[in-house]
Amino acid sequence: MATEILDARGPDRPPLLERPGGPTGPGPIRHGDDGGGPSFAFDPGQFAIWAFLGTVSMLFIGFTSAYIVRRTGADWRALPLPRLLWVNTIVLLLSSAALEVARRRRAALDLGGLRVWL
Amino acid sequence: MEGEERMAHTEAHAAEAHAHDHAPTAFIWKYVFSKDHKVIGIQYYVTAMLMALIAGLLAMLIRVQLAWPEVNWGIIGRLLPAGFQGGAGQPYVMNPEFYAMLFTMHGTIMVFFVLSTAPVSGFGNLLIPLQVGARDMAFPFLNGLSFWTFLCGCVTILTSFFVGAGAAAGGWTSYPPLSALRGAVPGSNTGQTFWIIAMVFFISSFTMGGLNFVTTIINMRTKGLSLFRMPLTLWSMFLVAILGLLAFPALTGASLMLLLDRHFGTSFFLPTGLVLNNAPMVGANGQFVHQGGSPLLWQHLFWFLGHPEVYILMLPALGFTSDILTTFCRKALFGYKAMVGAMLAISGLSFIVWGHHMFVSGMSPYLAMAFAVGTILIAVPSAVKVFNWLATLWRSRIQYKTPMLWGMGVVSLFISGGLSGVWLGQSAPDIQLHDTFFVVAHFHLIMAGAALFGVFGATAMWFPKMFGRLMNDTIGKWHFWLTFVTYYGTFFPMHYIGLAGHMRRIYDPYQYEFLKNLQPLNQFITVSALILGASQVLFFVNFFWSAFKGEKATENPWNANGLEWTTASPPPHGNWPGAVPEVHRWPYEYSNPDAPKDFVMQHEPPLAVESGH
Repeated sequence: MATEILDARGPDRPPLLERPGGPTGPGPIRHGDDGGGPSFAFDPGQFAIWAFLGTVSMLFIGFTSAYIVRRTGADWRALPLPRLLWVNTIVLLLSSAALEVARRRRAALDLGGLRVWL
Repeated sequence: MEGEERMAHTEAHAAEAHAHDHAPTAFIWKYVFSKDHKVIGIQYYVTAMLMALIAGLLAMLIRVQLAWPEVNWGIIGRLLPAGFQGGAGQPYVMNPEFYAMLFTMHGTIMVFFVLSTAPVSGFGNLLIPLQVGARDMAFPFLNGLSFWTFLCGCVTILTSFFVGAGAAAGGWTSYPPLSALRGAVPGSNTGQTFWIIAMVFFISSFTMGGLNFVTTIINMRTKGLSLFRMPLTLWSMFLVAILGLLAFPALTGASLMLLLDRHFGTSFFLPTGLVLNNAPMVGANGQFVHQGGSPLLWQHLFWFLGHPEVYILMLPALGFTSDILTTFCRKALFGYKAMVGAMLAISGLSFIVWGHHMFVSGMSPYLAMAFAVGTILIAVPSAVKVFNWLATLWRSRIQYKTPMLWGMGVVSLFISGGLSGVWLGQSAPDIQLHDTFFVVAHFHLIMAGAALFGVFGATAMWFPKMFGRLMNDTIGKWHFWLTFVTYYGTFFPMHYIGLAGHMRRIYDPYQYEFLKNLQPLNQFITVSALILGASQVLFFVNFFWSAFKGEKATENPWNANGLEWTTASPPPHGNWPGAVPEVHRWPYEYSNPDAPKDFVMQHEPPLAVESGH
């Protein structure tokens, strides 16, 4: 966890310009070498996470549409929402917020603040 | 070990020009738990082809049963006592439940574990880094993990033959309630649960692969390789990965709900009033156990995946074909941008036409109309593709090598299978033809056939990049012609028997008077199918013989233009011993009169006359 935050490229990424399969990101373009597809300069990991979020969204769209179809059934009974649900939601939101603050502390190179918020 | 591997990678990348020196050397890391895209591609490919062998044998049993339902199965019946009744002097006769299992497993294995896997995961992994000019996939570890997850799926689906009452028997579409009630037929029991688990393995593996494909193609292209300079094979892989990422989650969700219905008493897909084996399914309180579910919900979710899925099978074949045709015509591809546009249109439309699988479900005719219009629209980009292929072939000097024959076979099947699609895409004729052999003929020609021929063509074409050798051309041509003739011999007459009312998924058609006169034609189809099956022996012999003993291939045996032909056959670890080549043009620069030879590879520096493509 901590290593990932300290090095945004993650432990898998070598610290140089090279990425597995050849670099594409920003950096000096070396002619004749594998220097960069210039048109898109995303971090591959970040890009893949966004693509995966698309997949997960489709999964939830599937479940949601099933829910919408199924709730029209005559036997449908709405479940009472347990209080724990709200507690969980608040805890989740708070932890997300804390993680985001920690990320900003790291960006500001405030390691003490980072440790506090983590 | 993981740490060491990572270290090796880091060093390799630090000393970039010598990346290949640091390839893993131990057999197990080099060939078994490899993270090299070429090894993973071959692993996928070989596994898929072995699965094809099994699914093909199932098809042979189906065909014999349809031609001679009363046949004495003899030794086969003795070997598989659960599937046949007889023995002790009596002839062995196939059980109807066994027949249902045969076509279910044939479809499931072929669609998911063969034809989604060999072209996409097999050739995708082999070719994407080579064609984009990358040293490997974006996430090599994820890539290896994806193969081993896939293998778990294969093992699960194969194990299901041996559990309880046998493998799933509800059709490859697994419609509830048949698939949701454990007591419905023998295959609805443990076999169906294994089917669901195998699907989840497969989908996870395909999602990992898809993420790798999209990321590699978007992020790892070498300098100068803009999207519109990519070979169509790459475009097809890109679109297929997106289709997989967006469509498969629907089946994941549906499978989980099916699992809950089967084992945890929910009623997502199970309606009120079910009667199981002549007994109403009521609980101790006199009420129905399952209430209010909708079997149609499964169909919507399944086909939301199902239709993009059949294009996942087909699109790579269309990509391979474009690359093969231009190479062996020595002619530039006609209408490159139109070809890309057509593939984009086909992929986009595939998401809004799933209802055409459900025209007989009682949907509103207006809704059916909307689905029909969307479906017929697909004919437009398909026709664009066919026109451009024919225009590429037009007045060219064709070299009839094995890959070229398969490529032309794909064009032929795409036309003949596509035409019946226009019939089936409209609700009025479909209501007549639904669930007949006409449908079987249609999808075997266009989806299964085009995908299979595409795989064979790609195998012959890119075999040098797999094993550094060429496949035997003479055996290859025999294999092609036998397959081509018997493929049509098998599936073309099915149009006729379908129009005559022969339903699909039927154990003994001749229990109906009006189908009795179709038996001779069914026997012709079966003979054709048996020869088709036997011809594949030629392929397997050629494949394994050539892999070890075939003629050594040069770097670029076909004088083709893509980046994969700029490195050794087979490419070393890291793909290029030195620097990765830069790209200066599209991959279809053949017979340019201003060039010194009849092909200009993508990495060659710009010609004097070229102002850049």
